[in-house]
Amino acid sequence: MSKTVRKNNNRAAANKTAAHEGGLRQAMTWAHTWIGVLLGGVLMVAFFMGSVAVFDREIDRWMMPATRIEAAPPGIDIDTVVPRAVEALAAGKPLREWAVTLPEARTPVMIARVRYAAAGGQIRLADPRTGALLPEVGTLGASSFFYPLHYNLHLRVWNIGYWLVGLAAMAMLAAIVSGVIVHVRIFRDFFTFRPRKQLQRSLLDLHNLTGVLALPFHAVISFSGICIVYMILIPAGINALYQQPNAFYDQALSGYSRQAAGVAAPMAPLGPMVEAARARWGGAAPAAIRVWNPGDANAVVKVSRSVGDRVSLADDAAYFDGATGALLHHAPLQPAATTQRFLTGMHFIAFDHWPLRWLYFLGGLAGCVLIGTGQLYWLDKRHARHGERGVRLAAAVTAAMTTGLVIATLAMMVANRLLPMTLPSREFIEAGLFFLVWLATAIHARVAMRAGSRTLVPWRQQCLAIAVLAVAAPVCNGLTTGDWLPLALARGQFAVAGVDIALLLTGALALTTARRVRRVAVARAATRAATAPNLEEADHAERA
Amino acid sequence: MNDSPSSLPSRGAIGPALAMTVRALAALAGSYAFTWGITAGGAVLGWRLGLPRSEAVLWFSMLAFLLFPLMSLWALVTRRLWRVWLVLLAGAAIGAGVAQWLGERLA
Repeated sequence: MSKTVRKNNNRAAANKTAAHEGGLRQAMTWAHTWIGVLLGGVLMVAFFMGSVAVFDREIDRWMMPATRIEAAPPGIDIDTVVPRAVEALAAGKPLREWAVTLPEARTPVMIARVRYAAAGGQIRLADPRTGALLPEVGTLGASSFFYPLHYNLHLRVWNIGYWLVGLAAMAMLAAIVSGVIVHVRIFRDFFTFRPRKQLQRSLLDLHNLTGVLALPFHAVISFSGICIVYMILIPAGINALYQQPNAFYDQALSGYSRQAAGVAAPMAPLGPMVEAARARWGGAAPAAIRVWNPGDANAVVKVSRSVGDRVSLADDAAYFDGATGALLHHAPLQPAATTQRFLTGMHFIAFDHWPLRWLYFLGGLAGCVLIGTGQLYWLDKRHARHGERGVRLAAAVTAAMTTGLVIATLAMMVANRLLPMTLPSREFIEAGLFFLVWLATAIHARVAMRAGSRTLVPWRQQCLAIAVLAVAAPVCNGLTTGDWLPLALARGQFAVAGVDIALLLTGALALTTARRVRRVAVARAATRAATAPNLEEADHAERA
Repeated sequence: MNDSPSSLPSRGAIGPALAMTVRALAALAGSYAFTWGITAGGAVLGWRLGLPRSEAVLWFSMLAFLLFPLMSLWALVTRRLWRVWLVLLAGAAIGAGVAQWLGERLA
């Protein structure tokens, strides 16, 4: 009785606020749904690979065993090790430019890059203790494969990848706004999770829980992510006020550049320049040294500041005359540039802060759950309304974007440990395997689709594949490098050990999920056999 | 959640498929043109009002990434599509006009 009264009151209230209120929410729901359906896949790749990239340096150590070296003692002799690495890489050819990234807390190696005066260039890792080049790593690793996948999908033609990910990030912002409007009871739902209720109810609960819990993180990470690549996505302002984009960068980021003189001059020592820069930074550590036109009278040396001790990614660079060592330029950033560099730094999490690093990781994974549950919810509704034919392809794609993405990542890590180092173009074979396995997961999901089942996708098999690969990876690591988890822990190789532990946890989670999926399926079949007509009816009502 | 396009209220005289295309165009191309105009025009105005060039560019470039998703969402949910297009095109035209007449490109 009282229920009926309340329902009537609600209806009256709804009528009073006019169709506009109801209409707006309905339209927002529609927009939210289709934004998610159309861009959820790209968002999932961005969120998952972004979460992986939070630990890119650690995964790099895991995938590049030659770089598992002891940290260099503090105060390496820059004038010895840096030129040694650069000269080894230059191999006698004249250079237009070189750069060396110095080791820091999470990276025990130096990264040396050269650009030849003629054409082309090279990049190699070097040992900061000696300046000697390390052997070819034979992999793109996390920093050159998983991480770029996060922001450009490795689609570099016409910057298509940047545009797709940028669009997805803006779609995420629009989805957050529309999601909040759709969901006005947000704070009550935040405390609601009913894992054993009907599938759609649980999916929606989990969608709301992750959406609300990590809302500030998701909003900030999406916005700051787009702000990094403003010059690609919206060069409107630059076009209106500058003829040369480089003139803009120099002004905006307080850079400095000048033409080569064409007159040879020996280089001044780097050490005093680095010390002068440090003094200007109040003692902060240097992160990288870059030299334009080395050996020219107009050579320019750029010394940039480490960002390990603060959020902003401003490199606060000091520019020196390469021939005399005199300071040429060092100016602080202006407010807008400071803001942009702060946003960039918040996104990159290049600073040293382990608790925050893990929170970023978990926030990113919460984003994956948010996107995944949204897609599964849509699939289930569509399944109910249009039948199996209407969702088979979408279900296969969803599988590839969720479990498939994890399988491909793990398969690449296993391949990384099993492919022989002598293989030519080894890094591209590894990357190719990633994409092949990824495609295979979509095909498997479609081919092994369980007709007549509620969720269609062979989730259990894909979860088992994750479990097998996630356990195989640490074993392969132990077999090929000898750095078995307990040994790595004992030797203080926490990056390698941490990746191993994360892999094993992934495997355990996947195994639990696979067993749970099976148990639910069995229980469901049993209940259905017992009370077939009733359940079918209830099921139908729930899904409609 | 209702995922059928026909749930969107009031779409005027044109058919649903065409209306949907026009709406999607507004959400993508229309909103982008609007954002481009405001970013270019805003940067030029900011510079004319005394901001350093690069600062004016940066402030409005960052603003662009709040403007685009909001305009895009608005284009998706507002009933009267003609009003959406009017605002989007007006913003694009005014912004581009300001950038054209008041702008001056540094060599």
